[in-house]
Amino acid sequence: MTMEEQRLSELLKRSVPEPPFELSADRVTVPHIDRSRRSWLMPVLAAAAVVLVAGAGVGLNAARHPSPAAPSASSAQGKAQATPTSTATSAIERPTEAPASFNPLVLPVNFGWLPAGFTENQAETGEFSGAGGQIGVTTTQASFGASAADGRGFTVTVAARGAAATPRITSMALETLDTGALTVTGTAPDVNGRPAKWLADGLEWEYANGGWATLLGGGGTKAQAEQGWGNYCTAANSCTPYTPSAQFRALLEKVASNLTWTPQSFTFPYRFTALPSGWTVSEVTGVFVNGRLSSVETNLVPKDAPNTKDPLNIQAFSSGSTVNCAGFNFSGTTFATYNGVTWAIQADHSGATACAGARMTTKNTGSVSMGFEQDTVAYLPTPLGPSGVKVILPFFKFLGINPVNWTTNPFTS
Amino acid sequence: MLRTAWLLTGGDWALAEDLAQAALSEVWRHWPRVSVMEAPEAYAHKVMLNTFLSWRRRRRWTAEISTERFVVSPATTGGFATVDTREVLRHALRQLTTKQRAVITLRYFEDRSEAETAAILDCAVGTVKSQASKAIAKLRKHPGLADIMTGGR
Repeated sequence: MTMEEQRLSELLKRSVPEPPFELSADRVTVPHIDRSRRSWLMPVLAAAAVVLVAGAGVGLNAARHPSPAAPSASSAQGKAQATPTSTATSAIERPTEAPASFNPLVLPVNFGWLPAGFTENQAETGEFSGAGGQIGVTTTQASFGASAADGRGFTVTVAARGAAATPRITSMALETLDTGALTVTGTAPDVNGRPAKWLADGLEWEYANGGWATLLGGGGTKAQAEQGWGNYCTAANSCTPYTPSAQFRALLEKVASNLTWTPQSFTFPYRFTALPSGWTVSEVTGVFVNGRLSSVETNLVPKDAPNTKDPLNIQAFSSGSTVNCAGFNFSGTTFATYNGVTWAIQADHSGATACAGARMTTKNTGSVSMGFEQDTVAYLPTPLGPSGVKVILPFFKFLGINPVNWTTNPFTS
Repeated sequence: MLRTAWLLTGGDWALAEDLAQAALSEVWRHWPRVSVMEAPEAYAHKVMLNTFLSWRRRRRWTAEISTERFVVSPATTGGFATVDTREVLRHALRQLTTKQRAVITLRYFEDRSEAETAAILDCAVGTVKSQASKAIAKLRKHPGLADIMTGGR
């Protein structure tokens, strides 16, 4: 081994951290990669987690090895919201009456079945109703999406009683949803005994008395569209309609009829100490990576411009810092300490765009990163450079890197 | 296993856990057969590597891509040095191909010989040598690692 190889070896051994100290069976019983195999995958993964806890770093060792025991309780038993990936609570039946509103901090419904190869990627509970400067506590719709590696995907939007669903397209490639996607094209077979309609690119059905849901599919290639998978749209949003195939419609029906009303709470590594003056919350987004809820985003909008399409986007990530600052050039790191937490800050704004990231620096192996992003700087009192981040950070009380201490409501003190 | 997975995934704990769990779930499924093996840990290890190498970069079906790395340069502040070296290493690892990462992990983290590495990855020893050489060349060029690799600090 050369000296350089030796140095690399020492670097790797010195730098690779110990595994996170919290690893529970709960952690892996959240929605995972392939829901079509959920029935067997969940107990398997739960058991695997126990093996992992017992054998992390050393593998499995015994001359003849007994079968790993099934988990009886997680290490986080009794602790509320033990996982950063949201906690699935007890399943409830499909509602008979549609709710008048949803709690925007909880995803009320989710996929119960997805075709093989599809993975959930994003969920949104938006449209906080800010009234009198207070943060709204209800929302009238929730949406969530799933995709496959080849670009095809589904997005579901569930509307509260009496509300018209406004399908969200942020979980779909923008070019995949054309204005005609929601055109009603005919009567579909009942979904769980309730009326349904075919849309040009999907299915709309009454999921409960007074409440409708929309399921859209798209995002595939032209060849896939020609075979009946939704419309095909170019990057320039020029769309060509294709007749949905029977297979595509059968998938829509199966996805729609298998939604599970199992609430999932978003968890946050921070609380707001206050909202910046003149700002209010507009949306909460959960980002799924490989089917796991990995981060939560909160959007703030100026009260005098609540309909802006350019909110201040606040991202929080547990391990694996992934701040959305593509295309920016960070030139240096500055440090700031608030509420006892030291942050390494990098930020850049150029022209009409700005992005900044702050990484909590600790001696522990886990981490929490915050990202701040706004495409235009017009609404920010201070440009989103390092000084701008230092203006924003004091509005948060950070709850540390241990998800056990995180909260499901960041808006209460 | 998790530390190896951390290296393979370029320092992403969430992915590392997924990778280790995927491997262990595979082991679980075949437990009656695996349990009588002489070295089940080696089998689990190999399953994890094969799983990693078979993973393809997934294209997210979303307009809000949030997977860019928050690149952190080494800080001059002593208290952050360890954390920052790790961050630089994570960033540097992500510049490598999956195969290069696997070779680096086996050769220099697990101290396996070139022959062992080749056997695990099911490739020629020459391939291991060339992949390692290319990986080291990339790491050497990384601004945050250049000094460490060349003995500058």
